[in-house]
Amino acid sequence: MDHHHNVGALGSFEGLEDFYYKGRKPAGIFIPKYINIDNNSRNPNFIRSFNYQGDSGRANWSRGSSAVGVGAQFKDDLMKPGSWTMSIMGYGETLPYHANKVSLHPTLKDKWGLPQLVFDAGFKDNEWKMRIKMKEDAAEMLERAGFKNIKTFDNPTGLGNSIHEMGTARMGKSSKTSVLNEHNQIHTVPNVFITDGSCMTSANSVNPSLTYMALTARAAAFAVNELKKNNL
Amino acid sequence: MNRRDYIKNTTFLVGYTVSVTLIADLLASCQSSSSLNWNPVFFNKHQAETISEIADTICPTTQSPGAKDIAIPQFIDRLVQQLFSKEDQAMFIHGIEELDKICNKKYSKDFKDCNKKNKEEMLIELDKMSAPLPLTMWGKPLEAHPKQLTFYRRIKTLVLTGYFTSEKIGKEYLAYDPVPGKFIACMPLHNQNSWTE
Repeated sequence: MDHHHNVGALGSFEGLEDFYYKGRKPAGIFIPKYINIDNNSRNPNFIRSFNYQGDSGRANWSRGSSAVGVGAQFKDDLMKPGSWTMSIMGYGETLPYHANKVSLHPTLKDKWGLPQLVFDAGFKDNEWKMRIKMKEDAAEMLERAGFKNIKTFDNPTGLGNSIHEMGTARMGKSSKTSVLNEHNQIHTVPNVFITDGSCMTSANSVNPSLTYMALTARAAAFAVNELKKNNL
Repeated sequence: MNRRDYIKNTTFLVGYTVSVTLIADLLASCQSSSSLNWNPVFFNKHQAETISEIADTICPTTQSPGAKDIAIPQFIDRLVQQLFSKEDQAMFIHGIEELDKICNKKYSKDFKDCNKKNKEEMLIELDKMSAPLPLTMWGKPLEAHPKQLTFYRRIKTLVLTGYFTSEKIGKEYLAYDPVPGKFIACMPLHNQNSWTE
């Protein structure tokens, strides 16, 4: 599992032509989740939430590829910074559907003769409904901030394309419904700990890497303690 | 492929082992003839001349060098030979043939033999007919069903990529800052060119 992303809006800004920056872009942005965080922000169409990430900058010469024009003036203009643009992209939470699963393919093998892995997982109703809001709000924010030529986009691609793999050996209270206990220890095999993102249940909208590190530190501390007590 | 991929895959090509050609081109730049003074590795002579003329019509010599002056046609010739699939290579050749067909109908000449005004007219027309490049952000395609790119949109992208990522333009014309050091989020723009990137 993974967040769902690649939905949002971009636009251009008229003005501020006397300003530039050094170092690729002025700054990145992060807009924390603001929907379904309390009773006043409930959305009737979906549960959980999303955040936005994005950046702005002035178009470089590559804007010429899609612009109509050739010749001396065209080329010389491309030496100068173009208009300001801003893009904001939503990252949403993906719910932990029980039907998601990974299995070994019954017949297909990889080049080492091992069975191929079959991923059977996908975005469902909650994610699709959330994406509509992610797209609409992004466009509205840009519009109210004074951007022009606003274009929305929605290209869901697939699980794993947001780079933050989560889940498959989820953490839970019972071996009937989960693989790991609260110490990242396999319920049924106590001397095995899984300390990457496999323990995640829901795929939250934010970057999970620091959470993985914290969980790993906690699991390691627990394991050391248990070893000292000769419980492992 | 995006620009970063081009550069990653073609560092050895854009390294410009063509300084001899460059000098020869500069010497020849006052001639109006479109005859080739280099040996293409992928295109035949006519195709290479056509590519050269397209490149130089998009990026002619001004106070900065033109596409031919800094061997952009050679760059495209190598790139198409070494990095393009058989289908994409065929599309390029077909694109050149189609361009000549239209030019023969309109101007009774192949593209490379048309005068400057007609070449510009022709390319602007193709520009208007060609879908823009699909939107991307951080290298991710944002459109689920991007429009098919035409020959012209692709060759124009190659010309501009070759031209603006070249050592000559990057070092001597764009704002070259190889050891960037300080990050400045906002600063006045004093008539400088874009950063080399």
